[in-house]
Amino acid sequence: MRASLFIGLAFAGINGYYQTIYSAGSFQDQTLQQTSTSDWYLNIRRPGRSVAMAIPDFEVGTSDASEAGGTISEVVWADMEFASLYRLVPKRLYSIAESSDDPRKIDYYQWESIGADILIRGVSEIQRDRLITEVRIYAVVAQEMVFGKRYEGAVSASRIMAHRIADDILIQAGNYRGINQTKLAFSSDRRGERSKEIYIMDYDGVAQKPLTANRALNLTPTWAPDGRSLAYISYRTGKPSLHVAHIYEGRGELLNTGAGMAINPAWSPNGSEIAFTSTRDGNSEIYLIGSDGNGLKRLTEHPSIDTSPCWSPTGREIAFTSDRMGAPQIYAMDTEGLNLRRISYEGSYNDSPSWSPSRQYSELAYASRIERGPFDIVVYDFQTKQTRQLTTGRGSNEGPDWSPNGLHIIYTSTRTGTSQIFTMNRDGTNQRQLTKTGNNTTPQWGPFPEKDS
Amino acid sequence: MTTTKTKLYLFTALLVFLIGLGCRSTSDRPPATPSGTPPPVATTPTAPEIEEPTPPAPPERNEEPLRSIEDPDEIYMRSLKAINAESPLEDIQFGFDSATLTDQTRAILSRHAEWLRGYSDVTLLIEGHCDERGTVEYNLALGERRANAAYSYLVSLGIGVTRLKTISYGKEFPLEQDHTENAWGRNRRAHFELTAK
Repeated sequence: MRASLFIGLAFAGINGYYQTIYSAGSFQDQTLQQTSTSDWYLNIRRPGRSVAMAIPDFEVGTSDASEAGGTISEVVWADMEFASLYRLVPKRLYSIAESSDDPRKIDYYQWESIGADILIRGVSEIQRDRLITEVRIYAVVAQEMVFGKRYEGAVSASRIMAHRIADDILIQAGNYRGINQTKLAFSSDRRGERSKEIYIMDYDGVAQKPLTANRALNLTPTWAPDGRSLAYISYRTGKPSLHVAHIYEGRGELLNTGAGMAINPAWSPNGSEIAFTSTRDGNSEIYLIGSDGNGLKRLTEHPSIDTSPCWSPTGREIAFTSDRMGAPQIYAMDTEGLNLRRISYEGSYNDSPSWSPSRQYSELAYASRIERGPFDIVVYDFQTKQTRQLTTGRGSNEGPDWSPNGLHIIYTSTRTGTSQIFTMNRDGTNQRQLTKTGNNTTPQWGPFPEKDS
Repeated sequence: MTTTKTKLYLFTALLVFLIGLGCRSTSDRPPATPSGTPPPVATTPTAPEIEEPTPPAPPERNEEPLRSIEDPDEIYMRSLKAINAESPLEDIQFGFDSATLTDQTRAILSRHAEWLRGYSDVTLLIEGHCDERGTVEYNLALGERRANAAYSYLVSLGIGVTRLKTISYGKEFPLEQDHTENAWGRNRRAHFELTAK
């Protein structure tokens, strides 16, 4: 029943200068009604057409709630558009269906006539300085309310409330786990040419905030699976080293990886280990270290470059990049360093693998140079052994990472002239630019928020 | 102004380098065009109208190439920052996705080794850099390999390992911002930074 409210605060810790991001405030949500069976949604699905959803702007119960209520309507709509799972019935048709004499009455036949399968209605008001929104989901043809929930939170947190509402709609109407409350981490040079800091933002690009502020190079963030910590590479101590930032506590630590440089970390799905590249034994090899800094294990042993590890969702395998056959290509091995196999055969230069966390699809995304020229994002399907290309030749498209539900990919593109962060669906549609300032690289999609208790 | 200064130094260093080279071929280097002139600095609307000053003539001392070991005292009279701004030890370039030394880069490294023998207190940080056409992650590893190639060759020429350190900056700090073959060629480099003297 708790939701995190991100607030940035400068904090000078022992390990350098961090922006503390801590949890403040909470939501008190209460489910009003839920159908005993969840198959109402299955009943409205028809083969060959997507489910249509109507989301009229939420009513405003008290006049002082008009701004917050407007934000909620806008953000819920944007979230449902982003999800790309339903056809949204255009708002201009709603006046036909909305009953003029009694706004509370629902004329199901009218909503059905404009093509809506599902109707979402909400009302926002402010009571004793708290924002309260009630949301109801109706199955139009069955003419019944299938879900209702009352949300309460700080007035200033209307966007966060909207993302909670959108995630609930996705769960109720189709059992999709939404990413509307997830965070994105990336590296940005927006504060100065000779430095890059780690930044965090909402999934839609809103609320971009620096996490580090040490004026050195800080690169390649990777999320702990609980979303409370990030590991990244910092040049703060003079050489590239593996750091961990505990983002709600405003403290961080340097993990001792020995001699040489440490680069390209990847946090394991169970949280206990971090895979990374190190030159401690003479050239770039892949190692594991406990996320508490204890225990170090070498996985590769080859005079070529082995780098860019990423974990399979089970945590049993690691994909990585190696130039052992000449050019950089993607390989996979188990976490003992055994059962090595080559994954990529197309493309003259492949790097930045990211394994889909989806249970539905078994896929690996990476950046591929297909002909001479820039990179594009491709996805390798382990079942069909086919590779599909998601971006096509608009700038260089690099550094893909999956959303935790496996339906979206975050990546960078130079199509606007500088390196910026974009998201797209797993089929390459719905490409959206999230950043505009400076150069932004190595984005990583954070995990689902901690499960409601 | 830092950028202006850096550009000026680079311009000067390039001039000095060209003079130093004498009649050697310079066909593989970008021409010393007037583009070395710094771009005008934007002034805030409230600031009085001031003509952007033309870059001052390079200081006299810059005309003597620092890499010449004929002037052994000079290095001790100037700050590391001032010396490094002139890049006294010329960068070496690499091929695409390569950390292999060529006859040409080995010859440059031999000159560096000779110079280092003349200044036994000098220590170096060898930076490996890459062009923008590789990925962030792989380039961090490739840059390290380039720095190591230079390191190993200098060690093979008798330079003590305690005097040399390496670091990779991947593609994070390009020397040239252009997206041309020429710029990429200049960015695929090992750069030598004096860390003590």
